[in-house]
Formats: sequence, structure tokens, C-alpha cells
Amino acid sequence: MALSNKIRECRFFANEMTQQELALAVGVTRQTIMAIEKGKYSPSLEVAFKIAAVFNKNLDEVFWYTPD
Amino acid sequence: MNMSFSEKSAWISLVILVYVWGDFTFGLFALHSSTEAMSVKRDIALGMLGTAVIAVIIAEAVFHTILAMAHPSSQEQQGDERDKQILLIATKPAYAILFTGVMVATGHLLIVEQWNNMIEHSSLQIPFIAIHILLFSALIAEMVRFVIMIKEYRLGV
Repeated sequence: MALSNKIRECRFFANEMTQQELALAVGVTRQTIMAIEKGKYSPSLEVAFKIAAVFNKNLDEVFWYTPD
Repeated sequence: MNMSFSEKSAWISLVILVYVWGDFTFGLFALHSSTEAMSVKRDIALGMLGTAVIAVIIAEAVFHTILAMAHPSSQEQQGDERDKQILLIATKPAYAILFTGVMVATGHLLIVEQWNNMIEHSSLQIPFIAIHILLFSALIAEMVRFVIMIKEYRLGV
């Protein structure tokens, strides 16, 4: 998948925020956060923005696109 | 295994579908090979169909109630954007199968209406053949939908 992210790192620096806490903050299931972290699912722009907002970061600091 | 509500629901429905309708299918094939009169076969087939429908309703209700109790959050039960995307991906091929089944059943009914003697001399001795074409297209469509959903959940969208 061409969309990469550093959600795991962001969670670590946010006092080891759990996937469940992030899921609740964003409004998705924990399994979806897990799939995004593993690169198995590319979230919608809305969810990507919400995730970045939870960590007080810009979108491109959390997600980035690498052409194949 | 780490599964969401929707994935567990897909697994439950797939297992029930394969178990109950698989048993029904074997029964139907046994009926096809039996030497009973067609009127008797019809009664047996109706009984089998009724049993299968009731079994599916009861099993789905029981297992989904237990699943809902295990996942009390309404947000989890409603699913999120990933669940909806996976459902959409899985529904497309399922719809194609169902549509094909409807077309085949329509063709069969047309033959029955137009050339009735063809049916009388047919080697197919399954009662309610048009209904079974529709039923099995719906069942295969559902099976394909659940399998694709599970595949997408496991391997990623």
C-alpha cells in the first residue's frame, strides 16, 4: 500500500495512547485503527484528518504517500 | 483472533448458511434420486424448506444476540467506514450472482409457459425447480458475500 503512517509512534509519544482510546476519539473501531497502522487499510480523508488532530499534528506529519 | 463485530457476524452467518443449507442441499439431491411420486417429493421438499428457514432464523437470532451482548457498544455494532467499504466490495459480485440466478429462473419459467411438454419429459426430478434456482442463487450470492467480506477483513482492503 502506498499510504504510510506513523500512528504507532504518535501513540507512543501521546503517553502510550491505546488503539481503543484513539478509535473512540476518531469514531472508528479498534480493528480499523489496527488495520490503518499495519497499512492494510487506507482511511478516508476525514478519518486521517481526525487522527492527525488527536495528536495535534498536520496531516502530512502522520500520513504520507509514497508512489509505487 | 482480533475481529470486529461485523467480521464475527459474517463468520456466524457463513457457518449457519453452510451448515443448514448444506444439509438442505444434500436432502434435495437425495430426493432427486428417490423413486417417490412427484406429489410426495413436493410435500417432503416443502417440509425440508420450512425446517431450514426456521433453523436459520433461530440460529441467526441466538448467535447474533450473543454477539451483540459481547459487543454492547452501538458504535461497534453499526460499524465504521471500513466495514461499509468492505460490505460494498463484497456486495458487487454477490449482486451479479443473484441477478444471473433471477435471469435463469425467468428463462425456466418462460420455457414452462411456452413449452410445457419439455418440462414433463425432463430428467430433472427436483420439485419447485424455479424456486430452487432462485433460492440457490440467493444462497450462493450470500456465501460469496460473506467469503469476500472475511477475505477483505483478513487480508486488508
